[in-house]
Amino acid sequence: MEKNEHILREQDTAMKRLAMRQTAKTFYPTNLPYLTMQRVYEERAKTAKRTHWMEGIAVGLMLCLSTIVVFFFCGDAFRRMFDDFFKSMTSYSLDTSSVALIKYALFAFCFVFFVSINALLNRYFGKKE
Amino acid sequence: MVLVNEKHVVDRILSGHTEEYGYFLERYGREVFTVVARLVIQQEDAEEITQDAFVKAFNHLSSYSGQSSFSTWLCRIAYNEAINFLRKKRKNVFSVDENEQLLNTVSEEMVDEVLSTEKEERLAYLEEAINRLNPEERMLVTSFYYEGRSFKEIAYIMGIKEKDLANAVNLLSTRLSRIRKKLYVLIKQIEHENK
Repeated sequence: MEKNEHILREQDTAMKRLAMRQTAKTFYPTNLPYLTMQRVYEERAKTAKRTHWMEGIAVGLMLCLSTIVVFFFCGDAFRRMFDDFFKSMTSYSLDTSSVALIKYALFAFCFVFFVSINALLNRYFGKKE
Repeated sequence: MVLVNEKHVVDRILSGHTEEYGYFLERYGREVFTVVARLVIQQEDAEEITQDAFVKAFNHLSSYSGQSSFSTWLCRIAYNEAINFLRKKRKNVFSVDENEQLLNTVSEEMVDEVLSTEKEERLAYLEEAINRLNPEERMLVTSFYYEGRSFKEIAYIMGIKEKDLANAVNLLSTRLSRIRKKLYVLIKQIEHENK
């Protein structure tokens, strides 16, 4: 039959005496909290950087996927649009109003696309002050 | 002494106040270090493992539920880190080398007599015997006698499964009884070596 916790502690007096000695023996470095805190800050910075990279990769993947999806569903329409556009540019029978519209639409699309890409890349990979 | 709601401090750290983690380092650094130092012995290793344990605790702070006290939770992480360290170093973490028959011949009275000694020489032998225990046994002995932890707390630190925690008292009581006998055998061995 095992003795209960209290009895064991009271009875094993040699252990008590050793406990007191051991407490005095253990050398606790006083700079340990400071050093550990530095490691915690490093860890936090690493985690933040990792999260940024993950977000960047996720955004990049989403962008690629959405481009693929757009081209998958609207690819033919785009090709036709570009064909018509180049045909109308090279032929002299210009329907000036439709060419201008396509030109402006294309310009607007490219402008928005590149500005967004630039902002995105700056945000995730640009140098931070 | 000012009582601090530790769950509240944890919540504040999780919401971005990293600097408040210093509170736990100041308060429990020594305690965690002592637990680790008793397992791994080497001072440098103990410092490194203590740091690792605190960093790990910081990374998993969101999993602290508040069921146990923060210090017990920290000690559990530190204990696991120390055991993993010893496993990597291929130290004998869970030895099964003791002779079962020999332990059965040791009576409770014999153990009681040795563990209640006041003689300096016997105390030195006892200290040496504790150092010869495997880390798991040493953890149980030192947590129980030196730090005055309850069996339930020790069971939690040593990672005994949640469902078995209810039986932890019986389980650890049996283990401790066996370790006491082992200490007796080790003391006799040391005495013999020193003759």
